Amino acid sequence: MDIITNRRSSDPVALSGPIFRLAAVTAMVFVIAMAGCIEGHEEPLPDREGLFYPIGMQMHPDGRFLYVLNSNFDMRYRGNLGGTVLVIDTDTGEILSESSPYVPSFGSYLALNDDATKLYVPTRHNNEMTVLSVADQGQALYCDNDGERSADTRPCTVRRIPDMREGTRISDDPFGVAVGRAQRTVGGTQSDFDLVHLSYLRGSDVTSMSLPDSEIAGASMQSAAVVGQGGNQLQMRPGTDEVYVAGRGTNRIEGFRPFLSTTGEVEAIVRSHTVRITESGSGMDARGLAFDEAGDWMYVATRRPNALHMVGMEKADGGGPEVVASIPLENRPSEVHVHRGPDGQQWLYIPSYRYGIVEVVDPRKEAVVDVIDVGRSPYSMTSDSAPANCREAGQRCQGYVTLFDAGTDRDERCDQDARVCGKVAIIDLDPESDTFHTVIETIQ
Amino acid sequence: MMGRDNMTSKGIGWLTVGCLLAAVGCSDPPLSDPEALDAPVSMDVADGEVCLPELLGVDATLSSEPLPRCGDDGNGFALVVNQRSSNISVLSLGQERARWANLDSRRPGISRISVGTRPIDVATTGEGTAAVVANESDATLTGIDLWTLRPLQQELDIEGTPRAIEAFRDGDDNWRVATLVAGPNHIDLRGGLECERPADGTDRRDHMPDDNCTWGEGDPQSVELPGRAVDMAVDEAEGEAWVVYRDRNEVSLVELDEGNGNGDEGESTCLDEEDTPPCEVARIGWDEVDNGDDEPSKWGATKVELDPLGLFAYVLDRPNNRLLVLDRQRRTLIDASQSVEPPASPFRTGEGIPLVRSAMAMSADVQRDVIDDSGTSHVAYRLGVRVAANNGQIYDVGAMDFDCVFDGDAALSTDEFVFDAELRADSEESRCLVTPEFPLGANPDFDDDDELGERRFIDIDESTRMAVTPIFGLHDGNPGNGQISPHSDCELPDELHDEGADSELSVACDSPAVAQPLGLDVDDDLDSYADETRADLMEFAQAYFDGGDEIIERYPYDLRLVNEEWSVTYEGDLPEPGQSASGLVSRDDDAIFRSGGTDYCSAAVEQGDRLTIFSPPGDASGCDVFDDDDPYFRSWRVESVDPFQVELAVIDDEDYVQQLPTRSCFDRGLNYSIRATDEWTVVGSSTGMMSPRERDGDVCVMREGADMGWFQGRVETGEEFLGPYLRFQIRPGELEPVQGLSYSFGVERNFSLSAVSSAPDDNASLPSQLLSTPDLGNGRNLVLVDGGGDRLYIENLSDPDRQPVFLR
Repeated sequence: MDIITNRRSSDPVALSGPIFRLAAVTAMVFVIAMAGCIEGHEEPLPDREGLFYPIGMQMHPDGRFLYVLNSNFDMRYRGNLGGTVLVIDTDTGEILSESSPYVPSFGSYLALNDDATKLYVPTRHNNEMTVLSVADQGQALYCDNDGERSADTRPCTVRRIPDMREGTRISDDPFGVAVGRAQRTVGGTQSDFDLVHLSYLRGSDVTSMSLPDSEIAGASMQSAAVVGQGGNQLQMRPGTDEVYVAGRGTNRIEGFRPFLSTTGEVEAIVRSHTVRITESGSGMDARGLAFDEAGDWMYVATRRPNALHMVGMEKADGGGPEVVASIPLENRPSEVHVHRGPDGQQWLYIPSYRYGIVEVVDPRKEAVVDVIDVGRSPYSMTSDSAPANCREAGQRCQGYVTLFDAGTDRDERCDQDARVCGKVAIIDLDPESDTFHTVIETIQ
Repeated sequence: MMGRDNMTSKGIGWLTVGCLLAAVGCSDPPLSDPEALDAPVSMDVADGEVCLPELLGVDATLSSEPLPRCGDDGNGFALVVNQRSSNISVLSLGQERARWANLDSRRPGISRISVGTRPIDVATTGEGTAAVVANESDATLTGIDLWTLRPLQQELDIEGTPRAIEAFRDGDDNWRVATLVAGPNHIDLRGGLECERPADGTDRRDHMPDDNCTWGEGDPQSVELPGRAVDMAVDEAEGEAWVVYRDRNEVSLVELDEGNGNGDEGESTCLDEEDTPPCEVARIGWDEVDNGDDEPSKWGATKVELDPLGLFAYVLDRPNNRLLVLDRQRRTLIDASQSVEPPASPFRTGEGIPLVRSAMAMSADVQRDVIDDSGTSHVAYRLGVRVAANNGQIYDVGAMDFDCVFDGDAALSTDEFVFDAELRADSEESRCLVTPEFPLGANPDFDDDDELGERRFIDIDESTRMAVTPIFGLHDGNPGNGQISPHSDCELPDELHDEGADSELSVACDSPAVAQPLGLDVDDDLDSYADETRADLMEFAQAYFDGGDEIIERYPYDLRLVNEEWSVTYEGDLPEPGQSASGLVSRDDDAIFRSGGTDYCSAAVEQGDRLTIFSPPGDASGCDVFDDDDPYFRSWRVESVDPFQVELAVIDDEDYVQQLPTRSCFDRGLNYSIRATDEWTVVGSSTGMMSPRERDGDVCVMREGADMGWFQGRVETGEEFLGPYLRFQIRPGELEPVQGLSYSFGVERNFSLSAVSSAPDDNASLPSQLLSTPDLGNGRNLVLVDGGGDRLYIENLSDPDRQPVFLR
């Protein structure tokens, strides 16, 4: 077990010379600007009533509200508030624009914490993370600025931890995010800590943050080189505090966990298992990974080769994870999503960005058993889950797929001048339904 | 998604270059074969009545006539399953160059045969007049007329998801197909497909073959299976299927023929006594993992293959990186680790052959060399497997080499003997095909040639004798042999030089006056050991016939060697303890010394060793008793050993401190060492120092096999050392050895995997099937179907000088 201790100590800004003066002026401008900006936003701001280059999604555990991250991929809108997280009422299909906050541009994934009170959104505009508060039933997202709710999330966006000015920076190009939880008894009181893990498109780092009571204030953070040449998705293995990260140019999936002090601070990042997906020297791009509910199986979708790999996490003799089977897929799989149907069976859904389909794999049969034609550029998928939905046949059971640059016409790219671009396709996942595994609706 | 990259300027640049090239009139690019693969997953050969005509022209288009009969004109071919595009490509393998056959020039590109959704496997049937394709997504079987290369319109439904399909002739010589199905787990058995050749003049491109093709009679039958089957191999001669599972560490034998399977007095041989064939008749398991209903093993197996000569079955276990070998005649698992000679380790768990990681496909391999073919014939065989891993390599794994001498003629060609079961069974040579019962029990390191010969030369009958060499391991592609490095080194302490001077004896690394490690056969009466070997390497023994003689040939067992340096040191320091300043004197008991994390059991610490504290004592009162210029003054005897602490005792010798260490004088992490007493330590730079003990909770216990001399890390002067792959003796000298006397020597392994590269430079590889074909007109071929790389690798086994071919 490798313990990778803190590589980066705080790098305080020098308190002298022209740089200090510039920083001071900037700070003054920032304060002045913030004082006037909470209520009125500057243009151009994105439209909160539609999608534009949507990527990641999260479903509120109560099963009604879906959160979709718009990335502002074409840089049409201002960088620092050019993205949005749309709140969609899946009962009605309505986008709740007033409940949908602005976030920085170039976000990809987002993740709820354990009790669905916070939503963490890393973005690559300036390598920051936005911490959104979630309304008690999930019906709204907002930035809580000293009790004031706002769609302007700048007060809730951090680039340095623990100190906004002098703390360690979030590394370049944060991409994947996963959230866990830990408890510590501090001063006789049990406290909860959100453990937020980040991967980065560039470099070798992963980051673990500990946020006491889900608050930025008092947070701690460590980064360490774990993955080879840039990371993709992160996922936590269920039932453990282990995090696994898929690499962009390496044949391995790397596992790690944060080492927390008795007071809940992240002190180090500890490597756990390395899973070798292929034995080829380089070039594999692991795009997505997901676990089954029990954490016994990990599923990895790769490019080069285009395949789904089934990884058994524990051997009978106590050995480490190993690839058990590999299934060829269509070109350019982008993610893998595990869904448990009303009959208790698990299905794997793998969007193929290149061919506009979602391949359905039955892991028990190790075979692609269906192909769903969803339209142009599917990227990420989520689905209804028990106990809210999909408990029994006949109950609503739907999957949601972001179509990154889909236009009004099916299979056509959105018009470059359009104010909306991209869709969310809704797939029927009820095995008893006549429209099982077909797109029944789209949201744009 | 790196959306911020701006490619516009680069694009303009390339466009400009392209225009310039076009303007000056570039020469036409060389013609290349069109691509015809789309996630290929399996293949079967058509080697029967139907042959491909010669493919001519750039586009290799077939004529619109039905294919000719073999013998008229033409060669055998293969069908390749494209899973993504749900069709079958036709590959000519019997002509000078392997090529795709274009079935219909009316359509652009290479035309293929459309079948059901996401086909997974294909089997040719009906004397090569037809093929049946199993389709995964729509759970159907598609029949194909090979005379016209057209699919039947009517597809057959299968209950469940097909995983594999095989065709075979039953006891009544009827063609049948067996489909391995998941969810529900069973084998679907039904009549095979045969097709008649349509009349000349029929345009095969539009032909509907449902009328000239016939499925075998009888309703489909189902054989229930106990787990999630992943692969199947059919033994046509025995009418059996071998099935492996994802969730069971077992292989099932399934009797496919209704007519078989009745034992004495008409009793059923089915495992379920109330069942009748077709049924499961046997299971062979491994690893003793509980496969009850509550906790099924997650790992199971990946592939199963049958040796065409009927001796072995091979099971590929990808997650555990091993190959299991089964004795087909006895229906038992061969413990490969014990059957290799010398055994891998007498007490190693796991019965398979260790493989290179991520082996995904395999093909049984038989090599046969007729040395003398009449009168008393002599034939040499090499049985094993070729394995394809996803690192872009195909490598060789051996099971058994054997020679056979018999009264009779070795009249068949290798193709006939290997691929034609009927001809083989009727031949005199078939008497050679007997599997000896493994392990044979020989050990080349301890048996002389006579003893080895008794086990390796076996009489099969009065007129048939075999010479057996168990391989059960990777084949060595390096022609050189492993060796002890010619150069060795030593350290001669000053004390030894002084003794030598007093005794007027030569003190040198090769002097017989000095105790040193040497090979067991080194002559005692030598003036110098300069030309002698320091150790003997583990031997491999090959048994064979040469003329009328029985030969045992020995050479170093390269596969088992390790490239490393060995150090043999008198009263040497144990390598692990004290590596960092982590030793601690107990607060509560001066006699107890704690390791700070080192496991003393596996670190080979033993009672009688000496522990020395190098860190100076503190300044507290009374600590000056530990102070001395001699670095070994602070030494104590180890009285007992626990996993993380030792008990110390004072050494009854005034050269050493006469008091136990105290925490007050040594109150921090300490630099220390533990060394052997009156013995030599033996340490490999990779192997380390082997310990006969291991930790069991809070105590050290003997490892299994330690009482038989395995796991030695020490040796006394005059005694023999047995290491993991080498042996030597400490030859005593006239001078007594002194602490620090040390010898080092290297081992050169000279092993490289016997392998070929099966993936070109882009390296994306996902091997799904490896197939050895019979001679289809241009020699035998080895074909790797690679779904991840969208390619075939084709190697001509009959012409080693021919370069392998990649087809896409």
